[in-house]
Parts: sequence; C-alpha cells; structure tokens
Amino acid sequence: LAKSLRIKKIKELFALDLRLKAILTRKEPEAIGMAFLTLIAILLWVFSIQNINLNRMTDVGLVSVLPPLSYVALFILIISFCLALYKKDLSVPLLLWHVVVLIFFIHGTPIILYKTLRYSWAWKHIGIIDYIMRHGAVDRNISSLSAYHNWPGFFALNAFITEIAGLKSPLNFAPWAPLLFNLSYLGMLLLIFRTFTSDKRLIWLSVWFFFLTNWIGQDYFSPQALSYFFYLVIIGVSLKWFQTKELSKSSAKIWPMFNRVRSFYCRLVGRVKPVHIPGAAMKPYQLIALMAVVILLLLAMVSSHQLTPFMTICALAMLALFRHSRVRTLTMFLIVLTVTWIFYFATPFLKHDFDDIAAALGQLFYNLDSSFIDASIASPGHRTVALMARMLTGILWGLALFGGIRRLRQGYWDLSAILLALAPFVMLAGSPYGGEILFRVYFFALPCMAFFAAALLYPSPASGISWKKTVITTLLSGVLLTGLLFAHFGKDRHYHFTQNEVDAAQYVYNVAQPDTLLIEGSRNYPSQFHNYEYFTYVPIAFEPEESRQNLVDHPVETLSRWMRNSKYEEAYLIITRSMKVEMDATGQMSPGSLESIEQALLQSPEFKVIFENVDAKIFTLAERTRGGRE
Amino acid sequence: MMRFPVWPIIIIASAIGTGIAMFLNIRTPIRTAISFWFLLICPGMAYVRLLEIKEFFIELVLAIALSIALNTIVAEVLVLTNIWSPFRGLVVLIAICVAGSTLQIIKTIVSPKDTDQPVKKSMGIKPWMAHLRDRIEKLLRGFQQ
Repeated sequence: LAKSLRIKKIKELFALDLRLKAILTRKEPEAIGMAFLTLIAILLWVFSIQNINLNRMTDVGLVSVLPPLSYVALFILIISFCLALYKKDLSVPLLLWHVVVLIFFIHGTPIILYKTLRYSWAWKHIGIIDYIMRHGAVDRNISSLSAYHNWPGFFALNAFITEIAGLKSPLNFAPWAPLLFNLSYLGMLLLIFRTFTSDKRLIWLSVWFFFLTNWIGQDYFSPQALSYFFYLVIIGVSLKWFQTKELSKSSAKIWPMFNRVRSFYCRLVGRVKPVHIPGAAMKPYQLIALMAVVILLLLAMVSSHQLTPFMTICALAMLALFRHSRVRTLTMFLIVLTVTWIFYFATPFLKHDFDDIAAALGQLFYNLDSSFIDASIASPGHRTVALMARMLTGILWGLALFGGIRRLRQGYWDLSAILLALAPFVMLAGSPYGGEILFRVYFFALPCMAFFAAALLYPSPASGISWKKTVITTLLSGVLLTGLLFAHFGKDRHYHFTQNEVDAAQYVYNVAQPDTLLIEGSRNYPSQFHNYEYFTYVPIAFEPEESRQNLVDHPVETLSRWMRNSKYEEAYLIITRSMKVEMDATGQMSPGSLESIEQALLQSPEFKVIFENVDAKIFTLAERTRGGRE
Repeated sequence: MMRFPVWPIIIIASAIGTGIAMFLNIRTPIRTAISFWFLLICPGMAYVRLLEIKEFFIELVLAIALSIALNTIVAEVLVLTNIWSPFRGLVVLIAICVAGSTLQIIKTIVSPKDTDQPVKKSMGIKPWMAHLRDRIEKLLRGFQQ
C-alpha cells in the first residue's frame, strides 16, 4: 500500500511538473510576435514623447503636440491587441499585457510629460490633506470647500498614508493616481465581466473598450476615483457571490396589486437564465465574511464621497428589485448608512446647501443641460473637443444599444448588465452635481456599456472569429482612441501646469498670513494646496457679468478698491498662464481680458509685482508691500 | 500536511518593518516603499486569505480594497474624534494585521489540509518548495481563466 501511494504521489508530482512546464515554456510564435509588436510600440512611444514642446499646445489639447510616431505606436498596439483577440487559442497573459500597456500610454504619458500634478481640483484635494496634516482635524463649518470637510474619508486616508510613509506632502505620489486607479479598476472589471459571460474574447474586448472610452477624467487624485474603485468591488462581489441560483417567477410578489407590472416582471425574469459563475459557490461563513468586507467598503465609501453611495444604491436596488442578487440587506444597510451620514455628520454642509439641493430635485432637463458647455462662446478648438466628446459618448451608447439587441437575439438576457447600465441614469433627476451629473452617469454606466458595445462584435462564443471582425475591431478601436485622445486630453492646455505656475502659487501660499484676500484670474491654477484656510478667494471669472465688465474697463481702480478692504490683513492678485488659456478657451471672459488686466496693473504705480516668472505674476498694492520683488 | 504560513509571516514582518521605520522616523525611499506595501496590501490580505478565494488576482484586488477601506476608517476615526496621531493609527492597523495573521495560522493548524489545493510533497522536495510551486501554479491558473 505504501509503495502504491508513493508511486501515486510520484505520478501526481510528475504530472504537475509537466503542466507547469507546458504553461511556462509553451511555444507560441504568434504570441511571441504580438508581444514583440507591443515592445516596438512601447519603444516608439517612449522615443516619440522625448522632445515634446508643451508650449506649442493648442486648444485641442495634447493631440496637437503629439508627434506622428506616437500615433504609429498607438496604431501598432491596437493592431497587436486585435490580432491577439483573433487567435483561436486566446492567451490571457498576452491580452492582459496589451491592456496594461494601453493604460500606461494613456494615463502614464501626462505624468511623464507634465511633471506636475494635472488638473486644478487635484491641487485643492492636496490642500485638504495639508489641512488635516496641520490641524489633525477637519472643520465641518468651514466656508471654503466645506463638502470635503463633511466627507473627509479620502483626505484622512491620504494624510495618514503620507505621514506613515515619511513624506512631506502627498504631491510625491498624487500624480501617479490616474495610472494606479485604472490598473485597480482592471481587476474588478474582469471579475464583473466574468459574471456576465464565460466568453473570454467578449470579456477582454469589453475591458479594452472600457479603457478606450473612459474619457471623462474622473480617475485623477480624488475621492470619486477611490469611491469608484469601491463601487466596482461591491458590484463585482455582489454579482459573483451574492447572485441567486434560481430566478423564481413564483417569488415575484413585490407588486401584488399591479398585475400587469407583475406579469411583465415574471415574463422578464422567466427568460433570464442564471449564468454559471465558476468559483461562486461559498460556504455560509465565507458569505458572511464577504458581507462584512463589503460593509467595510460601504463605510469607507459613504464617508468619502457624496454621489457614489447614491449610484451604488441605485445599482444594488435594481439588482435587488429584480431578485437577481441577494443584496437586499446590503442595499438597506447602505441607505441607512448614507442617510445617517448626511443627516448627522454632514449637517453643516446640508444646512448651507439645502436650498440648492432641494431645488434641483426632479429637474431632469435643467440637470442635463447644466452638463453642456456653451458652445457659442467657446474657442473653435474647445468646440471641437466638446464635439468629439459628445460623438465618442454617442458612438459608445449606440454600439451598446445594438450590441444589447444582438445579444438578445442570440438568446442572452443579460439582466444584470442591463440593470447596471441603466441604474445611473436615475441620478439625472437628482442633482446637477455642479454641472457634472451627465459625466458621472456616463462613468458609472461605462462598464456595462463597454460590455454591450463589445457584444456587438462577439455576441456569443458560437459567433466565432474572422478576419472581417478583426478588421472592424481594429477600425473601431482606432475611432474610439481618436475620440479618447481629443475628449480626455482636449483641455490639457489649461489642465496642465508648469513648474513656474506651481512656484508662484507656492510663493503666495507660503508668505500670506491668515485673513488674506486672494484675487485670482480664475480657479484654474495649482490652487489652495497649502494653508488654504488663510484666504478669502475672489476669482474674477466667477464675478457677475457687470462686475467683470467693470473690472476689464477699469482694472486699476476696481482692483485697488477691492484690495484696500480693511477687513483683510493682506491682499494679493495672482494671474497665471493657465488662467488666461482657460478664459480664452471657454469664453467666460472675452479673449485677452486677463492679459489686458495684467498689462494695466504692470503700468500702474498703485500696484507692485512681488513675484513673477514667465508663466505667472503676483501683484499687491504698493502701499501694502511687505517684502521685495522676486 | 500543514501548509507553510507564508502570508502571515510576510504580513507580520511588514508590520514590524513599518512600525520600526515610523518609530525611528527613518526618512528613506525604503520606508516609503515598505509603508505603501504594508498599508495597501497587508491589512486586507490578513483577512481575505481566510475567505479561501481560489483566484489570486481577485484575492489581491479584494485585499487592496479592504486594506484601503480599513485605512480610511481608522484615519477617519482619528480625524473626527480629534485624536489625530498617525502612530496610533499604525498601531491599530498592526493589531488588525496581527489578529488576522493569527487567525490564518490557527486555521492552518486546525485544518491543515487544503482539499482544493493539496500541497504535494515527495521525492525529497521540501514543503516550502512544494507550497511555492503550488502558489505559482495557482497564480498561472488564475490568469489562464
């Protein structure tokens, strides 16, 4: 017996060695060729971005300065991915490698090129972290950026990480956030798509389309980017482990009084075949432990961001309502948690903004309209970018619609995916969210939209592969990538900041005392990232039309009057390159307005420049000057 | 055959390393690297391993998510209760990690046999080598799926 056991073990070990050897030394010339293609793409990309002159960037953003070689690199990557998808025997590591390279091209390029933190809101987030690191607390009644003090999770986390890691500021790691967030999304997207289908080709094309159409730029160093990661994890876990095995028609007693609705519901649910998800079976104690993990994620999410809990409630409620997932308890818990946070911890914010929130409820068209820019006053480049973004959105949603229909015709009732694609649209009626609600809806619907768009090409494993499909996938990827480059990087002329601008902002935030008046050309510069509570901010761009016009007509008189206000200890005016670019591009002020204000102040003896470089100037009243000129 | 508790040892070692670096206030890139590793992976991995998820990449992403959530909750409690002290927070996280790692070790002792992934040992191969090979195979299988 001992001998036979020993022989069995030896056989097992031998078989294992053979399997390992087969995986590690599999001879796949095609796969090696494609990996080689991606290496060429990487080399071309690295070589092409060496000598980019950012000063030549126009109103269409980064695309205006990318050399042709960059586009060749991107095109090679697309071809290589589509060829990898064409292979009969799919190589998952190869597809993963392509997606990682794509993420690095898109989200790593700004880090390498700009060398400073991109996007002015990211700098404000640094300011809140700086506040927590200095005070060890938040001020929920603060007037400026009060929402962040009422939902401080993300900022407390980063203050904590910065301190533990022995860093002076989160600026050391914040620029890497888009890259890291997108890589983290990748893992959860794979989990979610695998609950929709077992077709690997469809799964990977969905992932590919997600990253080609994620243009709205909510993956920067921000609470929403982190909360979105939590959202994906919660949805992924719910779909994989909390899904019901059988969708029973008889259990549909939600609407006993509405027979038509009920019968429609029964018919709908009856058509849905539960997807077999490998590895979804768990013991009860494991499910309870997973539920505990999800509850911790919900706690972190609810305290970090205002909108994401509502999006998650919509998504989970949809799944729960259609009995597609065992998440009713989770949904109820999230509702209680969100309401408790808003009415207990975030009361100061609620008191201050209640009228605006209440007024926007149910105003669907107003909320929708607030998301669009006024194309009549924007620069031609800015209009092109807006148009490209709208076209990209339209193309994706159109593809998703036809993809969904094609899946239905093939007999796949992807109820979970349909519900998750539609759930975010409920929020359109809730709030304009600072003119961003449509972007957020797009972002939360994106995973399922990308899935259905991919399903148009590969609706089922039986649909097979062909050269025609591969060519269409390549062309479509090219179109989507072109849209992405315009839509995602289209505002980079004013979204990126030079080191000179950072130096100017650093100067004013370091020298100013508490109770300082800071007049800004606009909010678009590296703003509020240090000692931010010392200032009262007056952005010229946010002034009423009449006041702005008065300022343009009589800059010296108006600004000197404002800055003489005895309420403030000190008063400064900052004008930077990115402010001028933004004003000219968006048309908020007539082109050249900030430049003319700057010139008028330079010629006036009433004002003195206390800091200047080629990209920024800081003025103060000559009579209030403390230090010398730098 | 008892499984070699690789992760509990990594987690506890990382916790000790981060604690020492913080206590001695060493300001080097190594401290940054070990702190990020500890904060973003270890607290979550201390508990996610108990769930016995068979795919490594899902286990990893869940561990990262849980780690970030735990860090957020600990940091937020310190901020909202006005007792901000990163060192205190780190001690709490280390305690969380040690508790999770201990549970993993106890689980290994109580139920040493992993029915899904038996540790092969024969032909003079040491247990830790067999375990490592098992892990590599599991990882590769995870990607293949």
